Amino acid sequence: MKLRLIGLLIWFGFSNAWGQNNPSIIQGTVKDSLTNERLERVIIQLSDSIDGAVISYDITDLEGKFELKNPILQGFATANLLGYHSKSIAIDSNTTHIEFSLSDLAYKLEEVSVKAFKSGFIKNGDTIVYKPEVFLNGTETNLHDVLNRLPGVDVLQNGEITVNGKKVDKLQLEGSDFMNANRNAALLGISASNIADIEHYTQAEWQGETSILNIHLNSDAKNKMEGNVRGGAGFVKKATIESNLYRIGERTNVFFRFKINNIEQDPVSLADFYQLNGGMFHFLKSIESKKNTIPSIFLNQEKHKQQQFLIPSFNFSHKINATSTLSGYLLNINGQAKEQQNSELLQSENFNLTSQNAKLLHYRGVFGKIEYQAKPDKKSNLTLSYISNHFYQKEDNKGIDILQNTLNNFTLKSNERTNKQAIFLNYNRILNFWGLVLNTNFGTTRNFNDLQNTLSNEPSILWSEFVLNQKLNTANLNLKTQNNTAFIDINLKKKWANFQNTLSANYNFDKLNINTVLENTNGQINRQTNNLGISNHLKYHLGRLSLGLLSQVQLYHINTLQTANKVFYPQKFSITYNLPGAIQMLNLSFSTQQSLSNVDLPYNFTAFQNTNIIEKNLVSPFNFKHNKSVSLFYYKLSILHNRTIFMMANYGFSDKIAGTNTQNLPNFQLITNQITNNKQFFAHFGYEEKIGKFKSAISVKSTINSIIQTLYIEGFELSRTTQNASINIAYNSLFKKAFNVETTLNINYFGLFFLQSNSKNIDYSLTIKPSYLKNGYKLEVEYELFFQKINQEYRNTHYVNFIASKKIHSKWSCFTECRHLLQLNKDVQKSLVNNQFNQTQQITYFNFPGYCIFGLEYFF
Amino acid sequence: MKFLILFFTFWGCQHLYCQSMEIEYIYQKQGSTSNDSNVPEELLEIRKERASKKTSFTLQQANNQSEFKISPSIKQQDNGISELRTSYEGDVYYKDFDSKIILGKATYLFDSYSIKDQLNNFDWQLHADFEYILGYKCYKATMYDCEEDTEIVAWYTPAIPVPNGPLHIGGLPGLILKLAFYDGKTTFVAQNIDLLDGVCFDIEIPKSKKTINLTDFCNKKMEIYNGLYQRAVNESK
Repeated sequence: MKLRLIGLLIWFGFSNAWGQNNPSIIQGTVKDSLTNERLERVIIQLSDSIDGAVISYDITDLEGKFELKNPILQGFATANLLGYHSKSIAIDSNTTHIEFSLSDLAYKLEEVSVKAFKSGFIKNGDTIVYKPEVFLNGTETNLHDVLNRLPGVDVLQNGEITVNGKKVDKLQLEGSDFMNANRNAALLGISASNIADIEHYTQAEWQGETSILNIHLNSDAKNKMEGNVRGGAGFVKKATIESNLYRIGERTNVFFRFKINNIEQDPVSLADFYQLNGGMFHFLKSIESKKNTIPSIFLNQEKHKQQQFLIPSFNFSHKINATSTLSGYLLNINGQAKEQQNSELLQSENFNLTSQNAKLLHYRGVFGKIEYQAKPDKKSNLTLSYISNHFYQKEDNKGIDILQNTLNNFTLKSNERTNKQAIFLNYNRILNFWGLVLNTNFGTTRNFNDLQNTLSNEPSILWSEFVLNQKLNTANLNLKTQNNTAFIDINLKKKWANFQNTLSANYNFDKLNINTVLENTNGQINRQTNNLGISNHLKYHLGRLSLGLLSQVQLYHINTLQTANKVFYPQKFSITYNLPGAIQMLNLSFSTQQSLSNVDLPYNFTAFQNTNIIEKNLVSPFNFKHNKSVSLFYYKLSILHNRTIFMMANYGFSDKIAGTNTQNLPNFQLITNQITNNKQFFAHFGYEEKIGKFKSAISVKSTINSIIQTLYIEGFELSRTTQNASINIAYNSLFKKAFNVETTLNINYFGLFFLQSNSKNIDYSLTIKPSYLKNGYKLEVEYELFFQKINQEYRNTHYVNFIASKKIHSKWSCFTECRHLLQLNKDVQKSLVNNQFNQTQQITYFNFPGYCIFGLEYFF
Repeated sequence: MKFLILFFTFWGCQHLYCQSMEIEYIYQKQGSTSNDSNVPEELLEIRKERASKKTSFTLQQANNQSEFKISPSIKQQDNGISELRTSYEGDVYYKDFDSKIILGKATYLFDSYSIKDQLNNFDWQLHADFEYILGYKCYKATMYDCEEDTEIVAWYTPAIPVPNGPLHIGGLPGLILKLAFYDGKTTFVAQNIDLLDGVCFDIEIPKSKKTINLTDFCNKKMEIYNGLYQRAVNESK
């Protein structure tokens, strides 16, 4: 038996070796299955399996003939030609002739009505370049409209831009970020026809990664003045003037924007309500007797509230020579500058109006900055900047906390002025020894803030910073002085398989001024902070798989009015897998964060006792916080189908236990214990693609919140459970023809469960926008139906906009804009005044007219 | 009228079957790893900077013609020192698969050469090794190339049945998505592939009067290199 087996193996080995040394020849031809024509340049390859490595190959000649060496016993011969379906035929060692008949891919494609398309993306490393012309239909006016057409890109009214769900940090024009501080001016002012392409990439910087969107203009729109001026007037007493002038050049960039109008207003506003009730003060005076609340019908109308303001703004940058640049801006805000309210300028200069002053309506300010940047040599950078900001704001009646019905606590605060001036000098140099980086800062800042009830005047600050940072991530030393503050930060990093270990320690001492006009008290507090921290950060790459682990412990000791000790230890684990087959990525992360605080409150501290404004509950006496979250992120960009898909899901859980011992502070509300459990689930799914001349996009967002709060107030226990679930679906379609119809559907569902009450609410908006664009004519009608059902209250609101324009010259066009504002009918007005408003009835808003404006527009 | 319909049908068909392809390759050259203390510090720094520089090249193919050259400046990544010129920056290779000719403009040191030759039948050795590039399964193939005077490692994908690649290289049963030579220190790696249907690139045929073939160009390069090497040896004595 053994001998037979050995003999068989020897024979098999011999025959195989013979097969290898004396390959047979396979000949054949390839033809088109439809026309029977011989096909040339077809690649014929031989492999042992269909997906196996190529063993031998040939390319067909002019007559469609090929000749293959066949050194294998069994396998497949595959014919491949671009534009045709590939075909595989099984072969063995005896095969000597094969005939291929290939079917035309284009023919098949035509059969299923898939038209040829041009890719709207270019992927270059981490950079995605969008080709806007693929996604536009000609109705787009400005950069804002163009960006909103790109798959995966969203622009909000406040100028915030997201790409595949992630926020863009910097908006650049031809690589210069001189307009980032005044982002909305660029978004609204740059003409859609001037945009060549748009690239999105991430740049690694000292502080972390920065997401950048860089706009490239057409070559004929550069090095000359571009923009438009438009103005018009109409009924009823409405007018608008707007101009955008810009020049993007090799060395000099300037952008001037001016806009004033009185055409935008709330369809139904709080002012309407007060008017119906005989004025705000009349309403406030009668509140005690009426115990009336403002119907929510007058709230949440921000969606259709646009701009009504006066904003001249000027931004510039100038390359003095190859190594130095001068840049800056001057911006004035007046009136209801909602458009600029969330501008990057305000955010970057610590004037974040979004969160702090969302209720303010009337404010004005002047913001200016001039900056000189130079690169004396290849290893150093110098920046000198001067900033001057003057800001005045006035709070109007929306300052009342209406939802909580706390009108009794209303105090009229107005006339807040802020004045800030600063000079900064930054010098950065890579040193020749040990690859060290020297980064020095010198600056002086003067802040002045005047609030009616509180006056705080911070004296000028002189501070300097000295940073030593080794390029190879082995050591980092940071020193900083600031008046009475000393700050030392030592970071030790060791690079081992992307392993980072950081040890930091700092000591901080400063003086805090408190002057309270209302209470006629003032005082000064010494604040001392000690911090010791250690963190480990591991990044490990294994093929397509990346693992990340962050472990951190921070110890704080804070001594202000009270002594506080805090332990903070977040942990995070993430796993990323780059999927094969396309540009797609899957990320799963888990994080946990815990902190424990202990505070000793001082007794009988005069200044602190008498104020209820400043430093109240700065740090809870002792608390324990615990957060956990699991998040999933998936992203896929399909270049060949102009399709982008992204999905985010996050589940978070947190609980907080806090207690306060305030027995000796009579002005404080006594809260002895508080337990909060919070669960949140958030999911966002986006899918956008363009098929031929039809674009469709769908976005689904879902949020589920569950908050269980137990309060113990002066011995009484109050439990409160709030649950909120919402789902938002948006669908948008676009036809790309002379006659277009755009439709958008938004549906939002939310349930609210509070103290036994249970409400299911829904709102949806349907927008239909037909437009006609031909021979210089542009006609556009936009109709929106906004339906809401909140509790038992139904509301229907209709909006109609009409725009018509005609080119009357290569540089001139005339336009007509009408907006139909639909408001409360008379019966509803009367019922509100008489406090007989029936919330169960369905209300349809209508009123006429809104406005109509006729004007001219000039293009540079 | 019939003539017009026929004409437009023919014209439409011509455009219907026009298939184009644009592949972007990123070129990178690693610096020498030798710790030769005789090498001046400036040279080491230049090598280091050069290694960090990535240059984008584009291969465009429409119907049976292709052109390989440096990408426009918009695609160039801003890394490394821009003053440093990259090898192949001025090179252009045009291939005509109908007439089976290759035309090129290649620069070596200080001189530029116009090349005209038949499309080469390279003596590729096929291997079973594979790796994924841009999601495509790519197989390894190797050969000796006289123009670079080194062994070339190509990674090609049968999924895109186009026997083309960067520079003058091609002839494999699939598009080359990665090309490596000088022991992998110099690479062209595909970063983006656009397959376009119904879009035709306008490929310009280079014109030149005085041309040499690839073999002569190889010999010329060897001659210049040997001359410089000999001179360096003599000077060091």
